[in-house]
Amino acid sequence: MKELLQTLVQAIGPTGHENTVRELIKTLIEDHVDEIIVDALGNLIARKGKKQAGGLRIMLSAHIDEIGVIATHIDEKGFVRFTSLGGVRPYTAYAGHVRFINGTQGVIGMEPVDSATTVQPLNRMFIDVGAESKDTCPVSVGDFGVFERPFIDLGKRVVSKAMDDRAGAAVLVDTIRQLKQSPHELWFVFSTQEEVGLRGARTSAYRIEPDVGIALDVTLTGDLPKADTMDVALGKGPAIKVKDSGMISSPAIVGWMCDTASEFDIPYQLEVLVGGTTDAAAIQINKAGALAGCISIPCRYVHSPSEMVDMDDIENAVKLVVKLLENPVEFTN
Amino acid sequence: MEESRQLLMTITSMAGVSGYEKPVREVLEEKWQPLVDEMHVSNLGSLHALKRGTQNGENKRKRIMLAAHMDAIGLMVTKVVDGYLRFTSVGGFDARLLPYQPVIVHGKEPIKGIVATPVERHLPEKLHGKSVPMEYLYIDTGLSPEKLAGLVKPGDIVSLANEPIELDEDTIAAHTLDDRGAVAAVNECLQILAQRVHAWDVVAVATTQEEVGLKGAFTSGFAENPDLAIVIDMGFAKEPGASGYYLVEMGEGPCLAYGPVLNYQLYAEIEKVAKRLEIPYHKEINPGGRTGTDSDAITLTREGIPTALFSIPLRYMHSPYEIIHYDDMERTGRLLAEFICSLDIDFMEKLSQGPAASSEEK
Amino acid sequence: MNYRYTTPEVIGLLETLTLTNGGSGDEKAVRDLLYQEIKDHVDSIRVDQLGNMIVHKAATATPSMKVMVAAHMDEVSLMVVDKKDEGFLEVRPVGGIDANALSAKPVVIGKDSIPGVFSARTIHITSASERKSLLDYEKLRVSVGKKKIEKINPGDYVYFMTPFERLGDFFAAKAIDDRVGCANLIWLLKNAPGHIDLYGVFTVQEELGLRGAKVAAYQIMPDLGFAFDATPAIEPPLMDSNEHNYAYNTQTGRGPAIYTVDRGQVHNEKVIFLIRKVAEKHDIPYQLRQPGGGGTDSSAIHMTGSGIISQSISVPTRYLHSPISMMRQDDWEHTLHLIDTLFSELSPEIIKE
Repeated sequence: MKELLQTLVQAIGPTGHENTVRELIKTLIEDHVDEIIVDALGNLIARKGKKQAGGLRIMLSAHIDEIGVIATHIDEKGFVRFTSLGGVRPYTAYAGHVRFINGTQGVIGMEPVDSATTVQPLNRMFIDVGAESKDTCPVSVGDFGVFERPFIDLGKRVVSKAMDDRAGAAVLVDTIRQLKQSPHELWFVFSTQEEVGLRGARTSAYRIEPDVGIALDVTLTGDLPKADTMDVALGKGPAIKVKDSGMISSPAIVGWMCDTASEFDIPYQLEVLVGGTTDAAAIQINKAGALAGCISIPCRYVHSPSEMVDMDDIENAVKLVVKLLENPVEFTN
Repeated sequence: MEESRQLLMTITSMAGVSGYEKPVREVLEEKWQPLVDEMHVSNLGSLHALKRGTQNGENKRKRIMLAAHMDAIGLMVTKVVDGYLRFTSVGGFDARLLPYQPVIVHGKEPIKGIVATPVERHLPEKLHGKSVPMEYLYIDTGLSPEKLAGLVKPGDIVSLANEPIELDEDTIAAHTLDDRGAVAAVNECLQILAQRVHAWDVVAVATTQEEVGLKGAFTSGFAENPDLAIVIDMGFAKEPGASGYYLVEMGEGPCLAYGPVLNYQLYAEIEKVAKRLEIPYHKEINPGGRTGTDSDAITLTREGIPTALFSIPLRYMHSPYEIIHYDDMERTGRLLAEFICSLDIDFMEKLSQGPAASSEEK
Repeated sequence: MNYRYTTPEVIGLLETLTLTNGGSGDEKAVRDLLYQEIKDHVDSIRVDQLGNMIVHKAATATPSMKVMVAAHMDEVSLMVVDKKDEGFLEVRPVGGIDANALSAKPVVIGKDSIPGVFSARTIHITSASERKSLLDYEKLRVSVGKKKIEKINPGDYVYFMTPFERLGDFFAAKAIDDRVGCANLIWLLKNAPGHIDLYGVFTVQEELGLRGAKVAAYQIMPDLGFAFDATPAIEPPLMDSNEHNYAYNTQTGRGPAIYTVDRGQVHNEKVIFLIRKVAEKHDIPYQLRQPGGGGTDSSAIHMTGSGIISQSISVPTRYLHSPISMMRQDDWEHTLHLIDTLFSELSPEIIKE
């Protein structure tokens, strides 16, 4: 699993330009699914199974886009001005490394500030690719780029950019490979453009019209010094989401997830996230609506280039998803 | 009518926080069962109650959808710590209204508690002299830490515990009048329709999760795909410290919303009925791109649904004691019923946007 | 735990007392209730010029000591200062109530207990910056039914509409300050040891500056004085597990609070020593209230005439001076137990120099 995760996080797939990641995942899953569709927004949609008696149509979604940058202007000296793709925070951007889709690497600098404790907003930063002038600059307006950091293996914990949401994608890939049978019709969606408004999930859900939607994403933790009062910690198991700022999970789905985890002795935590949401919010209000929930991988330093997860949480997430999908379930309103 | 007032008293002392509306839905199912022909519950828990009209013939019977949301704002436990509970809000709350507010924590069993606030010396300096933000408030149930941890977990819903009060025989103060006052108005409408004949189908929908993003309205609107929709929500009654053109007196009738995101012809037709029957109302001007109600979800559903918005004047919206005048609730119900009865099979022609621009005939 | 003192009957009295309305200057209903409760158990009762009810239970043994015990009948409340015909009242506190505790709280007004609710600002028409600001009395209003407002006049008292309930291990009610003190004094009057010439004073207007106690002490001039009250226990959860609460005043679950130094008085060390000895002898948990601000009727008593030795004993209570306070039954039980044993062991030695 660690190798799979490393491959996925190191792939380059900024919001709006997820091709590389999509192709990578396609090769990993194509022998294990019945049908693959790539739609107009670039979503990778894979169907496994057909709805049987007593089965449901379940859509599982993990987003393959990561936050990144896009060049807006190349100045006379070859410095690249940029804007963010998704939620990039200035204090994680300054002095960061960037790699553009075309391979060019650079460093983020910023206009001078009055004191060492201030940071400029993104529109007063620039990317320095070592170019001498506009003409010799290998980056053009409209080029997509991502943050670049090496993958650090701390044993039980690993650190990388794009854990949000390649960790979720890894869970789905492993689930596809491990799942032997299921009474349900399963749609695995590796969605695009989640970071700019759940767009891939929205259109995928319209196409699929599932009965149940489950997102696999990361969530914050409350286990850092003086952190928010959030009762989620690394290593305590996958988090079953009750509520975030864009969705209230269907109580029936939360119950199903908790009961299944308890039955199969899989550790879990309950998540109430005050800021942030996932693909599940889009699936819930698709057409006439769907039951929806989310299984989250606890993650520290989300939306920085150094996101940290616990491998046990990821392995347990796979166990939980497999158990949920293997067995029939009935929901009454 | 007395039944609608009693229904209102009942449902305003119940929980039914966004996402967890079942207790209120069950009361409505029981109340509306004798008044309608069939009922079902949507994937998001909204209650659809259909009363068929008399229109027959080859054309598909026309349908009007009424929408009033039955969810209420509330709180949710985020952490159990040292025998107290930290919480966040479900829907919009002004944290200043919460200290010393009695609540019910829906853990393994319902547990009474009160919201409490630290005194200034226990707050970081940056907050001195300012109102206490919600993350610093906590719920005190008086239970020992061990007992509490066994009964409550993160994600448990918390509802406000205050009982409704009649301030005089016409005025009620209660929590969740937004939007259960409108649900009572829909009840009033259904009670009247039970004795009347109408051509169109009426589907009354008690929507869910309006307070957290109009979720029930999006999905119910899509599922019903009605010809017309009327959303009933709450408007702003005059209150101390507030000034604005949209504030009206309580007790002088409902507000009928007038603005670009609603249908002007539909507004005019409804206004005609109100004038004919001498039902007092206010014209509520809504110049903006959204109304902040279920109508924002319904107007752009599928191919677009002509929608009207009725608002019952309410004071202290989203506080533990909101206030409305019973007459406004009852007049709203009456106007709804009378408008529905006035609908004939040709009504939709009145809403046509004019002849097609191109010279080709349809 | 076996509750020998806080029996259902005693709890019932506290419930009735907290549900009775009596603000500073408007204590009559509380006084009448206490009168009915105690009249058959004592030798004389009179009401003085200010409204204090002075109850005398004579000693039946010698040598005896003249002891005055004060418990205040008044609760913090509010008063109507202005009336707007659309159905709004402007109010001010009678005693200390933080305006930020009042939004959306239900109240009753005047002789007819007309219902009203405190205003709240509709969130949709309140700016984000306004939501950061504290509330004050100029902005607050009480909403009343239009048809009822003609019965209300400036000068009418406003009381919280809070029920008496159990919340976990606690009792929750309004006015625990100081109806629990009154209940404790009633208990003492019914069970006073023979060598105490006991003057139980149910004082008025403590919340406005210990006014009743001052004149009552002057009338009685006791050898020894006590105040039975409630005192804040400030024990919120802290945001960070590394922080500690060093400023709690008292803590619930640690028994009755014995005053040491407060804003109005430095308590007598001999008395404190005796109390601690008695408590330890009988295994009664107790705590010393943190030195600091605040005060009780005892400060008024001790400065009367040429000075009187006086002591406060209070029940630790959460959320004083708000619509709803919370007190542990255990703490109340231990307080009565302490009062019982202490008064049995009081002797004239204590007031000798």
